[in-house]
Amino acid sequence: MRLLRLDLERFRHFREQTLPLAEGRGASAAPGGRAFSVVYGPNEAGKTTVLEAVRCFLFGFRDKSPELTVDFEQSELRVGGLLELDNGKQLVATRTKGRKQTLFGKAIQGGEEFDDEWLSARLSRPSRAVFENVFAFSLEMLARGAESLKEHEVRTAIYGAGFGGKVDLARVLADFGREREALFKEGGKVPRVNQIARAIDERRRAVRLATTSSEEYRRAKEELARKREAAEGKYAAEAELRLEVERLRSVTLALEPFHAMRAARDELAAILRPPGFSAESSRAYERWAVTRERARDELTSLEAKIAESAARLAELQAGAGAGGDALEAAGGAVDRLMEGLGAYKKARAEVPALEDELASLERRTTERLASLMPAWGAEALVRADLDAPMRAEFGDALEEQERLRVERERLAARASEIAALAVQHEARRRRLCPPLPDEGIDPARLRVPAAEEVARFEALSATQERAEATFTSRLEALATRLRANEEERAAILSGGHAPTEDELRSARGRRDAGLRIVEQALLLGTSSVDAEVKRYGEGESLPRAYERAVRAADEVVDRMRLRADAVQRRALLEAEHARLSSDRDGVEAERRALAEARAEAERAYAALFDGAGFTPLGPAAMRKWLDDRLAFLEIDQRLGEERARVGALEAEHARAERAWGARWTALLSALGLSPDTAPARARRAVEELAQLRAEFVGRRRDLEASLAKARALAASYEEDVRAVLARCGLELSDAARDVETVFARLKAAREAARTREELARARSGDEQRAATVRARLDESERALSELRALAGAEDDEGVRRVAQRCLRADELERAVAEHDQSLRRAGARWGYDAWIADVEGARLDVLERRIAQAGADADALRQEARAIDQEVGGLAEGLARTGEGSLAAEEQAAMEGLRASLAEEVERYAEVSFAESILRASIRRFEREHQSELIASASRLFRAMTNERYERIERRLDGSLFAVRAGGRALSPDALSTGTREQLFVALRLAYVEHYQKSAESLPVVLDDVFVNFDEERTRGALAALALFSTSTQVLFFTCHRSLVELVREVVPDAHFSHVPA
Amino acid sequence: MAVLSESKLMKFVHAADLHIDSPLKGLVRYEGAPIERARRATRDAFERVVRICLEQRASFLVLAGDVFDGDWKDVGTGLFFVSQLARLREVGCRVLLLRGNHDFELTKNLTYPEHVHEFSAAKEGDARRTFRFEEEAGVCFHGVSYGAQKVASSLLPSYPAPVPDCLNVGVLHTNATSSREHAAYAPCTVAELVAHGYQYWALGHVHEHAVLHEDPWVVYPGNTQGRSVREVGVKGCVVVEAEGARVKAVSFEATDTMRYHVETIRLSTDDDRDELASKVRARLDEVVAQSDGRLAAVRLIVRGACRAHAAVVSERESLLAQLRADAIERGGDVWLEKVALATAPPQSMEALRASKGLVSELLASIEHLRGEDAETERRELRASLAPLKKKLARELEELGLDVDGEAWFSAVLERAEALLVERLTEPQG
Repeated sequence: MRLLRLDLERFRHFREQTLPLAEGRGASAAPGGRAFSVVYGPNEAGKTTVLEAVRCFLFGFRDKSPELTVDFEQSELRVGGLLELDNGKQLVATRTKGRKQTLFGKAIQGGEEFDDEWLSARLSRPSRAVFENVFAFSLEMLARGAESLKEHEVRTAIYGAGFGGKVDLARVLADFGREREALFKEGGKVPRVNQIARAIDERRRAVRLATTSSEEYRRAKEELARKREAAEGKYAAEAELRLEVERLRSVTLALEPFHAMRAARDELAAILRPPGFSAESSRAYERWAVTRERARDELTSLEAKIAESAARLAELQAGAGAGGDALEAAGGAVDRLMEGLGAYKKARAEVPALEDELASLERRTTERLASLMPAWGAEALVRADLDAPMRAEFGDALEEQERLRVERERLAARASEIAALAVQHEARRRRLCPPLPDEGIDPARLRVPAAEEVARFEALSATQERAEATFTSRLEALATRLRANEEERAAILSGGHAPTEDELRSARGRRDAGLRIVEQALLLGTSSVDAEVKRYGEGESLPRAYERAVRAADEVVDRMRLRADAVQRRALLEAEHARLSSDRDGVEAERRALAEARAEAERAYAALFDGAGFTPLGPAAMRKWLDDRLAFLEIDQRLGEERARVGALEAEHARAERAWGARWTALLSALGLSPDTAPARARRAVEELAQLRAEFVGRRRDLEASLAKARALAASYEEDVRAVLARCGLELSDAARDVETVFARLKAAREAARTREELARARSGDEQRAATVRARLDESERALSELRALAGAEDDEGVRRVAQRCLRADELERAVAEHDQSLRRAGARWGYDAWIADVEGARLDVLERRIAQAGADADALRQEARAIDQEVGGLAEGLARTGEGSLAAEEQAAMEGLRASLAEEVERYAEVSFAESILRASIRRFEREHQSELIASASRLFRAMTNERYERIERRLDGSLFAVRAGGRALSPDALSTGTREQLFVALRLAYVEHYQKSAESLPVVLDDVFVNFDEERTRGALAALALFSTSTQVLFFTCHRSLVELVREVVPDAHFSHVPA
Repeated sequence: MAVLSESKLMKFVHAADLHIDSPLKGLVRYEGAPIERARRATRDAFERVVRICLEQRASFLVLAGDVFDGDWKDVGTGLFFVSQLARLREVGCRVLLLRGNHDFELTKNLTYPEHVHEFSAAKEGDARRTFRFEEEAGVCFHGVSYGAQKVASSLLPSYPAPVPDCLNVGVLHTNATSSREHAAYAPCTVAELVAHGYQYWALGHVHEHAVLHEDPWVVYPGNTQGRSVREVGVKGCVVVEAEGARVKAVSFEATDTMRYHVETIRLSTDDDRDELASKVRARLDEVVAQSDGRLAAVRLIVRGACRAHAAVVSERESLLAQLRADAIERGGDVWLEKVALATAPPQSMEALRASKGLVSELLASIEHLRGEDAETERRELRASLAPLKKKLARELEELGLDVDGEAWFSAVLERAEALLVERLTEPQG
């Protein structure tokens, strides 16, 4: 297949551009003819874009290709071209961007349509990758591919050529190998699978270690039980030993009391005691002896006290006087007088003080009256009429005076208001002039029209004024438009290029007149119309004049046609002017009619005020005037009414003031005051006198009552005293002193009686106690006598000796009992009989040795038990850990996690291994099937490229690749110069292209400035080889170097040259 | 203990295949993965079973075999089990325990509390095979434990006839559905079970919950916790409500605390690595939203011819790390069990195959490997794995990875093909 033309319809910055590649030349080349196209474009001209367009045209647009959308949206991208298949059939097609059916094409001959699927199948479904890898050569790919030749064995070199420079096959295989070995390697340690396998083994061991089987668990539990039992045995033995130590210590402690008890018993046996006399008897004897002595002492004391009381009582009886009885009989009255003594003394003291105060009151009152009413004394004050009615009368008079004062002020205020109203009245009157000619005219009497009438004229006047303004405005607008119209018409006229109707009519008239004259001249002869001819010709001959007239008319017509716009505009302007003029006339007529109506209205308005006698102002002013007049009339009326009302009030007020004066004079006279006394002073005097009288009368009444009461109390008390004294046979001298004396005597008599009673009671009690003590003394004497008989003693001393023996025996018995009791308590824990037997036979030194030994044995047992305890703790802790623990399960879960990772890595390893094996097998198969042919083709091309400096490519038995020079010397690729190695790579790639197209439609080989690093000789060689190659396969040679273009022209003279479109 | 009258309601909980402390399979570990939650999952599930018993005030808990997965690695496993059973004793809930093929000889090492009855293995005249409560509760449980791991014949003949006027519950560990997923131990049919005359068959062994028959009821509760990606979906136990001798209602209660999901994400041609990651995140969010607080173990399968394929091949490790980080960001509620990146190059494989050139020849040779007449080539290819197989024989067996199997071979071959296309068609750096 050859690409004859590329249509850059909408592609990046290209729009509707065509790039001929072999059109008209290579397309029809006979077999063996070349298809070598050079596309030249300087840097940045868009060469790379054209290459991408070739790819897009053949294989479609990539899904995302934002770099192509410089001037167009994705959906607008479009590229097309003309193709020639290997069978010579030409196709034209267009590619758009999209997901399906992006290619639409048609055969040039026959017109059959085709799509993407058909073309792909026709081209044996080449992919973009195949095209880019096999058919496209770039400088970078060339360098990389040539470099890879150094390391390749021939099979990968040739096979790799099938993938172009983009895929480094050796590197792919090496990557697979590295990845595979990173995953797994037999005997390896580092690869991941090996690591995981090892980790799983470790986890398995960990699981084993962490595993606690139920049997082990049971064994551990049994061991724990055994240990616990052993520990408990040790603890028990230790406890026994500790118990023995304790027992021995108790025996040791018991030694002393045991021996003490035995000594007490021996002593007790040696003591002699009279039968029936015990220690208790001896203690009873002592108690009775004490009782007897105490009774004797107490009796002696009581008898002395009784004698003393009797003597004292006799003494008191003798001291009581004869008058004592009378005094005691009047005791109650004396007590009452004593109680009232304080009040009596107080009353006696109050009488003179009250009398002084009464005199002082009268004196002070008289002094105050001297300033108020000099003629009055205290009695006159008491008698004076200053009671409430009189004071009320006085108050009423004063209130009436105040009311009259307020009324007077109110009348004065109203007089001021009337004065202000009068001022306002005058001002209102002045506001009515003008139009009133004279201020003397009474506005009330004027005949004026109603305000509604004036308002009607005011409204009419406003309407007429608005109409006037409207007319003025419309006339101004019409004038403006007429001026503009006239100016535009004038401009058209002044231009002179737009003939008028008149001008046409005139020209045609002259032409028609000429025609008539010509007709007449022809019919009648020239002479008959000679004058007309002369007049018409104006010095010219008739034919010439007529011809000129005809020409002039035509010229006008032509000008009218040429300037039809101006003519039409002018006609329009004229029509508009006429319309505007008509409008203006109409408005002016309306305005005139309005003026007449306004004059008539003004006349009617003036007539309204004929009766008033003055010329009115405008309706608006007069309507306000009328309002002012009404306001004036209202004030005028109010002023009159107010003046009348205030006059009446003032008269009435004067009468009231006169009545009050008479009343006031009468009141003053009644009190004895001067008629000219000022009301305020009079009022104050009345109030003060009333208060003074009230104070004087009240106080004097209180003092007189107190004085009477004090005098009565003193007299009554003195009478009572006199009566009591009389009962006691005494005379009254000073009541107070007498009462105090009698009361002192009464108090002494009462004290003596009380003392006598107490002495009698004390003597009686002592006598009773003395009897009791005597009985006790007798009893003790009897008891002592009995005990002495019991002890077989004669006297107290004998009894005491027997008692001492008894008390010692008693003490020894108690000691024996206490020791016995304590020993029994101590021995009860150990079995008393055996223990006491041990005590009886024990020796202290032996006991101490036994205790020390047993303690040491017990300590040793405790150590052993603790050691076992620790073991038990360890075992118990281990079992507790086992409890509900899950260490093994955790380890197993971890192992499962590793296994899961292992599964992934194993799959990855298999995936990589398979890929590697499949690729190697493919390479081997390709080599087996195609290597000879490819090496032959590559040798041919390589020879041509190197101008036969190298004659062939050779494969050694070990698979290595060699280039054989003309002289037979074989060089490995790494021994070749870079340029030659690149030539070798190109030869191998082209050989593969030849191989490819044997089974499929060929595709163009595209070289993008790949020879820029070649020297001229190598370039010539490469071009020569490409020229040879282009007989079977189209070569698209892109370059930005003009020198290369020239070189191609030289080496491949029949090549097709084109430029990247601007 | 509850005494049932004719009209009194009685409940029991039926669970099976607890496999306590058995490791969950296939979870590839990575930093930040919720390891502890996953490891405790089987224990947590059993704790939920016990909680359901307590909440439902169940009179009995029936465990129809495979309480344990096999030989305990740890006696703690058994002690944990017993400690949970002790919780039931406090509320008077009795436990009926059957030994299955996995734990046929294990529980003998445990001393059970009095409220636990363990059915003995089939043996003539063994009266302990049934556990009767007819005197007090009107219910009779019949069960036969496994005496060996493999019980090839039906155990049904060992089950006694139903006790009249009593609720008869048969407890049996069996493959009654001929499931290929499970060994055909103690095989029987649903018809045989129905014909036996019991009102309820409490089955175990098959890990999928299934009600095989109603009235009489034949029920698999399924296992209480899914243990591998082959056991996706909800797992739990069954609450049975009976009135007298009649089963009134059977309801399923979820107990799993971790649930397996298989999520396939299909990428389109234009999807690149970012889009891949974005779609994965969105899918993980959906899974978390549906998980109701459970841990989700997700097997992620990414398919499709896409631009992301290049990253899948060349940036595999970093991509996996990114996806796992995204999973960790879901608050520890997601464990990416495995990420299967089965993408293909964006260019159509069909178009590549149809084209001319070395790539198409290579693809043709791979296609040839899939054919029946390429046995020799396949064998040669497999031979490249021989050292690996030798080294990892035990692990491969443990993993159940049949590297000689056709399915595994085809899957790997497909990925190798995609790898080759990617390496041979894309420019290398």
